[in-house]
Amino acid sequence: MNRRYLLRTILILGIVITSVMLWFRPHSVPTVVEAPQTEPEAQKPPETPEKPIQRGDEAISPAPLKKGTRPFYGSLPQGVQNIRELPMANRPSTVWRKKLETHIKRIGGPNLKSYSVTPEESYVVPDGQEGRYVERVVVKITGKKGEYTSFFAEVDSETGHVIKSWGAAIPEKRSHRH
Amino acid sequence: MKAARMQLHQLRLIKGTLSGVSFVVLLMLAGCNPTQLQTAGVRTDPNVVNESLLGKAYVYEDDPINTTGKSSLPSNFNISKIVGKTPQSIVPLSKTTLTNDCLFQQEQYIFGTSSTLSFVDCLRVLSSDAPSVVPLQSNAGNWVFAPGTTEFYQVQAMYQANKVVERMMGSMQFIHQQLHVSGSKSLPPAVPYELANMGTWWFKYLASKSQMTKAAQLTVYSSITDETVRNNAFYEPSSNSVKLGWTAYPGYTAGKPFSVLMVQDPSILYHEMGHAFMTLFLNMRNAEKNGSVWEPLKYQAFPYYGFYSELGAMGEGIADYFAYAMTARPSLGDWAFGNFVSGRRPLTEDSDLHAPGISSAVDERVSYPDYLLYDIAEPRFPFEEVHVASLFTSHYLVALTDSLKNECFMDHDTAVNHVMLVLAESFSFLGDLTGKGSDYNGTAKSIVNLHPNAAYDWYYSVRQVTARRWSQAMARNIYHFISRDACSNFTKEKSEKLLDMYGLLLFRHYDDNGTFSTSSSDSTTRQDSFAMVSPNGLQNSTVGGFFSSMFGSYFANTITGNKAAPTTVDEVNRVKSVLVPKAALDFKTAGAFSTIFIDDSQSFGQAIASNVLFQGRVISPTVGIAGPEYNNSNNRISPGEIVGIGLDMVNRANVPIGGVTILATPWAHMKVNSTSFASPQTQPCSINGFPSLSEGAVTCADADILPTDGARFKKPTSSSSTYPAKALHPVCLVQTSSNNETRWVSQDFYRKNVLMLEDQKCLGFGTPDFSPAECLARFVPGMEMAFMAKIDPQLSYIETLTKPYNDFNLTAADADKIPPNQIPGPASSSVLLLEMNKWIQPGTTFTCRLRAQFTNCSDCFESAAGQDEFTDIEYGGHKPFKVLDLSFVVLE
Repeated sequence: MNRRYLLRTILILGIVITSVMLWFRPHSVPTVVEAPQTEPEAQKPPETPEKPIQRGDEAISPAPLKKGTRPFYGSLPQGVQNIRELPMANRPSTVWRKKLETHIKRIGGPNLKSYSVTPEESYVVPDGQEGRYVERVVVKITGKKGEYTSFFAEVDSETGHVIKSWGAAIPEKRSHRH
Repeated sequence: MKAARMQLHQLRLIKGTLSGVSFVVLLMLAGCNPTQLQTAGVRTDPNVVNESLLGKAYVYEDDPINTTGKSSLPSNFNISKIVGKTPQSIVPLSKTTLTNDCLFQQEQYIFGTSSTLSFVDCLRVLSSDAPSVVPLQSNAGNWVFAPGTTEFYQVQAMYQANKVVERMMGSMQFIHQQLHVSGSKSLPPAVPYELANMGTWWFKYLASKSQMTKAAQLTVYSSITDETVRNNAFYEPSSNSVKLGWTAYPGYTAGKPFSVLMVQDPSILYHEMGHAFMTLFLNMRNAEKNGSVWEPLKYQAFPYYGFYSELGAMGEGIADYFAYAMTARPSLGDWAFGNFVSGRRPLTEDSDLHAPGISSAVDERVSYPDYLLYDIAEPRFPFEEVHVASLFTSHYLVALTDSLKNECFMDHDTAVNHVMLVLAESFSFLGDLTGKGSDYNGTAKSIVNLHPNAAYDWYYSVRQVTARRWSQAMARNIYHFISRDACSNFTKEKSEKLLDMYGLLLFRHYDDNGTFSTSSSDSTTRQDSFAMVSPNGLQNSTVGGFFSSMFGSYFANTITGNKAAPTTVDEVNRVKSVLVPKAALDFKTAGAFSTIFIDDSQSFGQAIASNVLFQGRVISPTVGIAGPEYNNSNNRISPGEIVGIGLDMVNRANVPIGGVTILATPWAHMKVNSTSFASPQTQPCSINGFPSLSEGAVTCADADILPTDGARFKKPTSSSSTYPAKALHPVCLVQTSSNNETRWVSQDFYRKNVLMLEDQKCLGFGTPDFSPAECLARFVPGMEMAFMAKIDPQLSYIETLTKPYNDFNLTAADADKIPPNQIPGPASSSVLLLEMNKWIQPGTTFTCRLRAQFTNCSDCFESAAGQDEFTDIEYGGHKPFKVLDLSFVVLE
């Protein structure tokens, strides 16, 4: 009787443990990530997350911060508890892009053949004790002698001033010795 | 009978138990089995297709030179001659256009390999980036097109590109398994455990928050024929694409056929995809979890800064290594470059492309920094360029692979996997812009790139990835993940000797205890971040939680902040890697001003701005208060000018120095006495005796001035805000005299009290980083760093670049002499751009406190031999640098 009880207990325990293991097992469902459309402007928010949400994830990380409709990247300055209380260093303007393009034309000078500015995202970053509205754009330029590059830039949403740039194209062609 | 019934009952019970166990096992197996990709779009009309060719095409495996074995071939070589006779798979049958899927499996702590993660259409090929181009459709289910057509080359590009992707996905699985599951785990890895969840096993940096769950497709443009890719190919991060161009073969003129294409040479494609995968390695940690979703950071770490830099040079060498990983050949570009134009590169010293005197002998390797300016096309003359300077990296990596093959009896693929492991581990740490450095960092402190808010500045300017940082990370990871784990035959001694052959034993210890500061005061609070207990002293990992500890997934060393000694280099192994004290980097004998060369011509301002723009940086000189219109070409610094300043530094040592970096970026050299918005007050710190205390300086302790978050001393926009108490300050001080007393003060003080200038009349006014402390003299952001690849012993930087030309001209026949205007001078990367306020009075004296460092420096990286390395916080100050006090008087 004891032995039967023991075997049944083992069986039940086996099922329970297996169930628990399967429950906690990550990636038990095949995941398919869809390719984005080629034009960034045409992209739409995905309908489903890339990964199935795992238990406990919500408790691990806070929900994303937003300032109005814009996401906030980074950590809030010391002393600021709520993003709604975050003082802002600038105000978004509709002319930032025109100002940026004018600036690129000016510094590109006579060698600049063509350029394009493609907005990618509007967001907010911490800036000292304040926040700043910024735009991420992709800039592409070609020169009259065949020069070409493209790069990401973070641009002030009010003035069009380029705050940071990164990710320039990496050419194989060597610069000229003579 | 009773016994029989009992037996039967027991049998039933056992059967039931077995059934239950079988059920459980089946459940487990079902859970563990990789799930195959779903297929869709299966061809419905098989009558019109050749079944044996479905999804396939005839391809060439290699370029014309290596396939035929001939040393040269004509530009009109018939490509169909090297196309194989056995059709090869190009894309899955489900694909109707040229796209492929990426498959990745991740090893887990207790459940083995995860099910297959699939990024559908991760890779695609188009013929060019012209807007009108449409994806190629299959040809009745197959991809057979006439050789030489653009369709044919698209198919070729997909075949070769997918080979790289499949190879790298296999490496990624190996890397993750070794680091997190199978290996000895003696060092907390930087490659994240949550690689699958984070999605950083593929490119995510194009995805913005609104598209956060999307990863970025990699596109290969197979045959672009415009001028931007003449003798060229690109990896372009902003479109996550590889662009393959064409070769202007001898005799080519406009209108002639583009008969030589980069796509005909698979090694070029492998190289460009190497840039892509190096970028992937650098950004493996660069995602953050918001709610339940991992999102890419707002900035990413890229392997190129524009112009010359050591990371750019190493990036080229590492991309070359990817070509070697695929071809196992000692050179690349044999057809597309080598047969027609310069650009073919060797990957081992035994290549016949090298100059005499270079061989695989211990003391004849292509070592750092000796060969940084060595151009195989013209070995007599130095050339500062990233591809030229890349050879020490590629040759070291190939030599490392060969060592693993010989010492550890690994085949090519296995050896490459191990090299990829140490590369991925090194770069995922160095490129970590979250600052965390490892999943196992339990300290809540940044251990790399200072702080999330300042990581961009530290990665791209203050602490760039140099040959020293890279080789130290490689040594650390080789020691922990190969010598102590995968192959004990490849000992620490052998690893150090190999690094030394390439001049790369540039450090005294491996920094495998890590370092961080708990505050800005290094003397009392600098901490090792890893508790370096013995490998047997196991501690629970912090990532897998309950299950990882229960099932034995341990890391011997976790990041706890406890003190521990790092692994030291055996000095006996340092033969070729000579370290030089920073005092050897010096001004010329006549002082600072003779060291600088100035270009204040009107054309310069425009030219440099445009030049910089094509390197991917947008500079923003102040308009109206300074500009090229004030430039007067008198080779002096005058009010209103925008001036190019080069520092022709001298190397006083008897060995070359490499990787000289001069920073005019803000740093902590001022003590803040008042943070008031209306009237901030600062005093210069006396550093190396300048300024003296009698000249208005104060003595500063690190704890008083070094910010932990890279904060800048810039003006807040709101009057309710204050300046930061500890901050990075603009570099230029101004001299003021009153009552026979000379003092050095901040520009903010001078403009308020002497010039009475309002903010609006200051340089940089209206920009996000506006600081009144650079109201009068300002190094233009984007041009406030200078790089010099190498300075030869007892020479200046310019002499290093020009002396071989001048020596040659001394003895050359007149017809052979190189005209002075063809002797290359300093590169744009060695120039700083300074703008001066037009309201400055002539006669005003400035001193700008620049900071310099070089890669093979003996006293730049720790306070003394045997001490731990400087922390990222300390890189905000002067200790890791030689401070260059650059004084000048503003002249009319």
